[in-house]
Amino acid sequence: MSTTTESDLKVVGETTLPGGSYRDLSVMGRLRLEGDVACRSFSCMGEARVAGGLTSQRTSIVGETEAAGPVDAGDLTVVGQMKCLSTLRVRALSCTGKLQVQGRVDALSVKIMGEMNVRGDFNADEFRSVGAFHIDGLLSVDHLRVEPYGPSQAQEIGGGRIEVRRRAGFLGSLPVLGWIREHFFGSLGAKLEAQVIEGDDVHLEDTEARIVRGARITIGCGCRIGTVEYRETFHAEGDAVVGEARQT
Amino acid sequence: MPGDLNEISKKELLEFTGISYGQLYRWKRKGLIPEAWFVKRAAFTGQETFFPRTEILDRVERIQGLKEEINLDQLADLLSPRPSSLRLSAAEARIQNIVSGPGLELLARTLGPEDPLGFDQLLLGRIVGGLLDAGDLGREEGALLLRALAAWAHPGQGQAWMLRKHGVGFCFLALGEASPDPEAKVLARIDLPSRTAELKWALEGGKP
Repeated sequence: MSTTTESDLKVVGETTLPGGSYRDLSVMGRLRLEGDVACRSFSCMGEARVAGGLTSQRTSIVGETEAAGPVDAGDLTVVGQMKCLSTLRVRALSCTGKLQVQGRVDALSVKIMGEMNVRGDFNADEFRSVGAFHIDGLLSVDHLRVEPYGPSQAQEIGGGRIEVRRRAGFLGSLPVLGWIREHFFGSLGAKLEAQVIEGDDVHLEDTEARIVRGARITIGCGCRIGTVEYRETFHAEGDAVVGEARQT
Repeated sequence: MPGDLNEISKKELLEFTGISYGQLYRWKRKGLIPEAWFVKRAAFTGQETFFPRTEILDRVERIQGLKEEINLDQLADLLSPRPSSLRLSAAEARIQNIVSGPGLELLARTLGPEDPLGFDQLLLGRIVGGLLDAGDLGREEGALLLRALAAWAHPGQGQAWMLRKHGVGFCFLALGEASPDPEAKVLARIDLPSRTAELKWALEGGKP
C-alpha cells in the first residue's frame, strides 16, 4: 500500500484503476479495481468490482459491489447488492438490500431487513433479522432475535440468548387474520429452520429444528421440533409440536 | 467414539465446568478455543460435539482464571497459536536460543533486515536455522525455503518439503497429503503446526 498522503476519489464515468489507498472513495459510475484497495470510506451508488480485497472504515453500498478478496468493511450498510467472494469482517452491518458472502462472516452487530446468503460460518455478538437469511454453516451469537419475514435458515445456531418470534404485523394482529395467514400464507415459509439450536435462554416460534438444547427452553406456536434437551425449564405453548423432551 | 476417555462431550463439559452455551460459543468466536477442538460425531441422540478432554479442561480453567484480569481480545492473542503482538529483537532471539546465528543471518539477507522480529519471522528463522545447523541444507536452499515459507498463504498450517534432485534443491508446501517425486532426495519435511506449537513453548520458557 502506498504511504503517500491519500486523496479522495470520485468516479463518475467508467474507470479502471490498479487499487491503492484513498481517503473517501465514491463511485457513481462504473469502477473496476485491479488490486487491493484501502480507504476511509467507500460508497458505491453505481457499480464497483474489486479484483482484490477491500478495507474501509465506513462502507455503504447503494448500487452494486463485488469483491474477490477479503472485505474488512468497518460499518457496512447494504441497500443495493453486495457480493463478497471471500470473507467479510464488519463492525455494524445493516442490510436492507441483498448481501452474499462465499466465506465466513465476523461481525459485532447485525441487522437484516433484506436478504442475506452466507456459505460459511457467521459470528456476531448481536444478530437481529426481520428479513430472510440463509447460512450454510454455524450461526454463533450472544443474542439472536429473529422475526422471520421470509424463509430463514442456518445449519446450526448456538449462543447465549436465542429468540425467534412471530412478526407482530398486520396479518398476525387479529386471531382471524392469524388463521388466514396460517392457512394461506403459511406456505410462503416465514419461518426459521435449523438442524441444531443450542442456547442458554431459548424462545422459539415458527421454527423447525431437529434438536434444541439449552438451559431454559420455550417452544411456542408454529414450531416443529424433533428433540428438546433442557437443563432447567421447558415449556411448550400453543400448537407447538415436540417429538420428545427430556431433562439432562 | 462416545465414552472415549480422551474425549468429553459438550454436554459433559458444560456440566463439569459450569460454563454456559453462551460462554462456550463466545470463546470459540473470539478464538480462545481452536475450531479444530470441536469434533462432530454421530451419537445416539443425533449429532454431538466432542472435545479433546485434557486440552479443553485446561483451556477453560485458564480462560476462567485470566478473564478477570484482561479482556477477551488480549486473552485471544495470548492463547492464539501465532501471537500477533509478540516482538523479539534479533539479539534476544539469539541469546534465548530461539533462532541460531546462521538462521538470523540468512533471514535478514533473504527477507530483509527487520528488527525486532515478529512471531512468523522467528518461526521461519528457527526452522531454517535448525536445518542449516544440522547440515541438512546449504545456504542457497535455505534461502529458497525461507522465501517459500514467507509467501505461504496458510501460515502455521500444512507441511513444507525440501528436496534435491540431480543436485538441484527445490521446495514446496502442501496443506494435505503430498507425494513428491520418488527420485528426489527428501532433505527435510517440516510439519508447520507442530513447529509453531514448539516455538510457542520455547517463547514461554517451557520445553526447549
